[in-house]
Amino acid sequence: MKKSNLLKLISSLLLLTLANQLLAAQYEDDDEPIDETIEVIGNKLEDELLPGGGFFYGGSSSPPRSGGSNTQNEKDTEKDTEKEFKENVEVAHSTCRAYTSANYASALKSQCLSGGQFTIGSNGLISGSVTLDAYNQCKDLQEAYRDNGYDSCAVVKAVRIKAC
Amino acid sequence: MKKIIAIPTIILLGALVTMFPRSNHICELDCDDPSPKNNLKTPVTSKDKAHLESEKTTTSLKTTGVTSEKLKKVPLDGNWCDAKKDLTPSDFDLVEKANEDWQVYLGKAFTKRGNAVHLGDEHHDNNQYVAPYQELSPRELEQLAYSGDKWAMITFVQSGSFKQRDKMKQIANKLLISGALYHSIEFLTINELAAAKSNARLEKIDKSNHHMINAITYVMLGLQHYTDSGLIAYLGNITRNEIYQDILDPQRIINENRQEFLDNFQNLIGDINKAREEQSIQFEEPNLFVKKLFEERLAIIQYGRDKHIKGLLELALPASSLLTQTTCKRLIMKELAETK
Repeated sequence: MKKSNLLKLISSLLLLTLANQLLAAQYEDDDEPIDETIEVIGNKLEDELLPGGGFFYGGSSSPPRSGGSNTQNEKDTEKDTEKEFKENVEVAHSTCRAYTSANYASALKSQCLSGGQFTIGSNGLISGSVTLDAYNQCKDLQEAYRDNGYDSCAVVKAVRIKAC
Repeated sequence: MKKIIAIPTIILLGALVTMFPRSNHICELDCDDPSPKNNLKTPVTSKDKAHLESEKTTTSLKTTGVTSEKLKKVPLDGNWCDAKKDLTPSDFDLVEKANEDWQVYLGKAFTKRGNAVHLGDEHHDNNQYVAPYQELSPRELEQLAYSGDKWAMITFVQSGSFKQRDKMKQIANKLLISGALYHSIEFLTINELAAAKSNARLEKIDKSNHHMINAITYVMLGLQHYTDSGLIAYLGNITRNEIYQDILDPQRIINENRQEFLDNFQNLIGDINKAREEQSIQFEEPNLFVKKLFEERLAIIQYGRDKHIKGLLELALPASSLLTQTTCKRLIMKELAETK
């Protein structure tokens, strides 16, 4: 082996040792290293756990936050996520409306036609007469609740889509 | 021989280059490879974290090719409009948190009615505050509500029971005084709209007008307290029922009964203030951030409903100004139109 080549090898080995020491020193700094990767993955999982999660009567929910990307694949993934998010918002909105309708129908039956109108007479017997006027009044109240519910669903949908 | 020595040397030098990052800063801020996934694997010290937080947005936007003009974020105390777009993520989180706390102060906590009971808590804002009360028997809940338990009262006014209508009204009035008026305003508006409809059906026009005036009074009272529940209930009903376009047209009722409405509103405000004074209750105004978020939310609620808002604007009450079209609202509405 030529002398010059041997010197090159030795200097490279020295540099390598120095590099290892510097790297070790970086990790042994007083400040505890924070595993940012785990934090980011944690957030992502939390978002993914609630894909269709939405608030029927309030609040807002944002789609998974983008961490920034520059490749075409990542951009496509972002678009897919956004699309999926919007679809989930639509599903949540439809479900919200469906429950509002179901609650209205249930209230008509349980409160307007029977439960709410029974009275105990002086003879101790329960009478369940329902007048048309009482039924209409009860129905008007339940309709007002229902229409409020529909609008609440619409507001939540708009808030969520805007946050997308 | 030359080759035998040269190859390991190259490998070693390559290893050195790989091991030394270009600077001691976190890679995400200035390295060639902007992929955050790779960069975040670099250990981050808490010292660096604050810097990283402030730079994160700008850097991530840089990497996606957004021009520097669009990178500008508005300071929290600046003239921001769309919180999510204009603020840094940390400022946005702060504003959201402040708003959440404000909503709890207003007593905004949705109970699950009927079938919705099978849904997860995430479907109903702040349900955790009222869920335990929904487990109580109706009698126990009523007793607690009458004893002044805030969340029991809020649960009670959401029961939607026709039979309990009068009792719900009593509790709702108590909530108005306490300041936890989100569901109180909601119920009182719904109740008055329903009563207006029932009376109109029986052709009791004076009575139905009076109930409409009451409903609008509660809407405006809610707005004065930065509460939108009355407005949602009002718009939800008048835009879906023909009767409100005809016999119960709010615009006409407001025009024909302006003085009665103003007297009604002043009387209600006077009663509430007097009761608050007697009980040493002071209604806390929300901070500026919450007020701005409220404006943003109003833009969403008002979107496409100018015709129905007009009457409320013409009342020219202090709260009416919240319904005026601002530059911010126009921007948000434009954005809403684009997402349709």
